[in-house]
Amino acid sequence: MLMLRCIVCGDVKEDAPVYVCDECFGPLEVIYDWERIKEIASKEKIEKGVKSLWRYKDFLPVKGEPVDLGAGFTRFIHAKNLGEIVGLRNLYLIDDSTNPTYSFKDRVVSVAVTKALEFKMKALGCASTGNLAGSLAAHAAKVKLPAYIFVPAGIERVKLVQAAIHGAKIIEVEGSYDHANRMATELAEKNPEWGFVNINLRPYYVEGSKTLAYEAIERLGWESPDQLIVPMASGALLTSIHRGFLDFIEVDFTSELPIFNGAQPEGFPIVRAVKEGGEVEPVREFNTIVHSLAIGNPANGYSAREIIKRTGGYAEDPSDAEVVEAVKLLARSEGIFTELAGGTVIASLIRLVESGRIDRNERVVAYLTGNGLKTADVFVEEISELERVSRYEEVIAW
Amino acid sequence: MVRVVYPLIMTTATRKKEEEIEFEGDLSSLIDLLCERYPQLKKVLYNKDGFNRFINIYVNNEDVRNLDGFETRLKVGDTVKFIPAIAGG
Repeated sequence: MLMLRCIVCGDVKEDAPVYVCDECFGPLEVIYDWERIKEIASKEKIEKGVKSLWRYKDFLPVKGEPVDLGAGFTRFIHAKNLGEIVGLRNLYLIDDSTNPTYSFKDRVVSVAVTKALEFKMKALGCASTGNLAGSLAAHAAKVKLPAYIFVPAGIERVKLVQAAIHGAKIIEVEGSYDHANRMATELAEKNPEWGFVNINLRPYYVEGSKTLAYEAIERLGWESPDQLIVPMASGALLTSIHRGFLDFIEVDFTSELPIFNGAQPEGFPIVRAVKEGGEVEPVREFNTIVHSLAIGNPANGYSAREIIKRTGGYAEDPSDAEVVEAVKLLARSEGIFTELAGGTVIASLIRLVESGRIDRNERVVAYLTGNGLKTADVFVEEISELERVSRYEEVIAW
Repeated sequence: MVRVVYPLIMTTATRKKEEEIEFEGDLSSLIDLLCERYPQLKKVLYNKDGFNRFINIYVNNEDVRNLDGFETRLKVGDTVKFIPAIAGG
């Protein structure tokens, strides 16, 4: 039977759209009946399953038929060319740019919207910097529920096109993502019948990202990699992937927990806490082109920092210029155009190898969470000066 | 008067979603006053490490950590909101 448990005081609650412990304000997490899962789940069953995250349904917190647009079980690539350039023999990439709305958010939204239907919610909502907006809007359209999306004022319109096309109501909030998120949180309080996927459905929502751990293990022949590089915004992705590894260790599908490394743009709080050893202090002023990772007040910052520390990992915060170069390097070596968050991961990977924190022979999995076309505006200058010809002979003359 | 807005889970202790309080001083003194008025609040707001890090406090929609923290001076007409920190991402 599914239940929720407070990660701070351990208080157990029933399966419901709540996200905060009413005893201590601590975050809630889903707890599973592991004896039952051990009875029904097997590697063979997974291997014969659907080619989406729902091949891992036994490990996800849903009861009925999932809302499945086909998210998950994305490309798993042995990046030999990039590995050779950065100095790694066994570099693997999980490329979530091929999800239905082109980012990893389809994994979490698929689970959260399935729960929203279970709870008979009347509308869906979220705060977003773009990727989540597109994903939520698509899933809401599929299940015929209205979607309300809160975005920071001034966000590039191109990032909202997806959500608009799917028919979502988009609301701009004065200030940064943190302001939009706070307003959505207040609205979730006032409208408990609305499923805000990253607020009152958050304990279920984050479970979708566990499948990024499951896929790494399955694709490596049911073994764990040695090290991971995970992009961080709120820190929820990293903590969920950690839970995913623990799940498969619990059922003996793998035996080792990898080293967790985080990647965040320059000036953000989780990396700062890892590098300087202090608390995760929110930052108000920041300036980066990596908007999808720009959360100044990260909800899971504390947990992410603890996991990085406990597993012996580290965190890097490359500059915007390094991120841009990393996107180009990946595109030109592996044929993958990733969004700037992916560039942050590759730029961090380069730093981690150069500093000797990752050994040349280790098996490393780096997560690319979104498609480069979502942040293509940054690269438009690459085509600002094109050669123009009128006859093919001019080309031959080059 | 200072307006204080509580999240749902604090209303078990306060029995109200918001209220206007005659008050002068800083945020720390306001919290002391609230804990005195609603004794159950203390165990929610504080733990062995000090103030509960899963609660964010806003004064006029600004996170107090970007103001003067618990020493933020409150004036007539200010709105203080307690909001769960675990959201978003």
